[in-house]
Amino acid sequence: MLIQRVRPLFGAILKSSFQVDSKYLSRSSIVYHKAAYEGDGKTTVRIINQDPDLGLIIDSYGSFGFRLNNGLTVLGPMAIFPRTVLSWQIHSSDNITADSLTLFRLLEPKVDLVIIGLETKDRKVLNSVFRASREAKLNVEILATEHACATFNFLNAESRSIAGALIPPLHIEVNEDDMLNSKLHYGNLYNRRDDL
Amino acid sequence: MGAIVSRALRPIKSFNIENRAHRVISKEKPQVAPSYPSTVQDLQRVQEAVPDIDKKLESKDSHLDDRLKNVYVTSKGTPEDDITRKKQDENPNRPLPQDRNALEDFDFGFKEPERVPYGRTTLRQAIEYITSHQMNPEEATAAKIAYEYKLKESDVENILKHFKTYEVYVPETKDSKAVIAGPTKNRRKLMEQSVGKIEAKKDSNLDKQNEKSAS
Repeated sequence: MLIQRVRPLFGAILKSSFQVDSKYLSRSSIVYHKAAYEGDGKTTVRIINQDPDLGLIIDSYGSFGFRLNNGLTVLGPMAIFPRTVLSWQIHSSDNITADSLTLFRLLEPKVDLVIIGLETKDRKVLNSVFRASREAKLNVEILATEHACATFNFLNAESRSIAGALIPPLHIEVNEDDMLNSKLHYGNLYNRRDDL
Repeated sequence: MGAIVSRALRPIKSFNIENRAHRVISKEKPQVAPSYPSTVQDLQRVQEAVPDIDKKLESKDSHLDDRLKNVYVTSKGTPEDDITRKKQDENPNRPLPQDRNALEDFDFGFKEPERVPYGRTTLRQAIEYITSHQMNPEEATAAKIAYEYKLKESDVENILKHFKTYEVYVPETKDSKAVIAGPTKNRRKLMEQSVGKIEAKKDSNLDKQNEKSAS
């Protein structure tokens, strides 16, 4: 079973900002710059996935479903909220209608943005999904599932009022890092046969 | 153009520069730069008006100090504590916060409204009735849910049709084979679908082979 990891989520926190050599500047305009690298031991990185206070975050996706940061694997399309997951009974993105988005429309407090992750890039399907979301009077962001996962993660980490409606992708491109991580996950790093 | 001119004039400007520089540096007391003409005028005018201005500025003026001693700061109005008490007495329904601890996180990541408008639903309610419908579809029908939660029946039907809660499977040990977990209906659909496709492909291949062998 191979899964694709959602792009690593880093928020670099900069502890100090350095001062530009004032030789080239007039005295009144000392500029403080922010830089990504501050030298050894000064830059810190925060991985959003490992912070339980930030709510549900999608760790990885596969053609079967999604794996969340609480250790659960979710099968099939899902409707994900800041701290809740529901199964979304949708066969493919062709079936998305205003009816299937009813829950997002009726929610109180209002959902500011629904992130819809589709498994297809077909223009016709995108249009029909967009029309459905218009009919349901929702603010939507229609993306490929791969990108929708990351978008949901970042917005959720910012604790915004959002929901995600995600359909697992049909095909995934796997790199060596993903293979290593899935082997590490199942704890069979040194097994030659990949029969999982 | 300016650059060319200054470049041409440079040898003349820097003629005997070393000696001249040393002459200036070696002076014991540096020559003070002349003050600006308008400054000189101002100084002269002050000198004429108050001839002993330097002395006056240096000496302490006891008269001014005495005046400063007569300055006091007082405040009017009610103290802050009394205002707080008065406000508490005025509105006992809105007591001031006593607890200074950090707020606890909300269950669903946001504050749930106390009153829900008709036709709308909170996530907590939605999970409640979706679960109860799944547990007992004959008992918790869409009509009953719609009546209880003040929703449109068509909306409830759509929600119940398109949203399900998950069944959770936890493997007993780490080695035990994973059991497919998911919404009941969907699982069956997924399995049927995958099996169907593979069989169809195999059959078509076999058919082709049979055709070939037949021909």
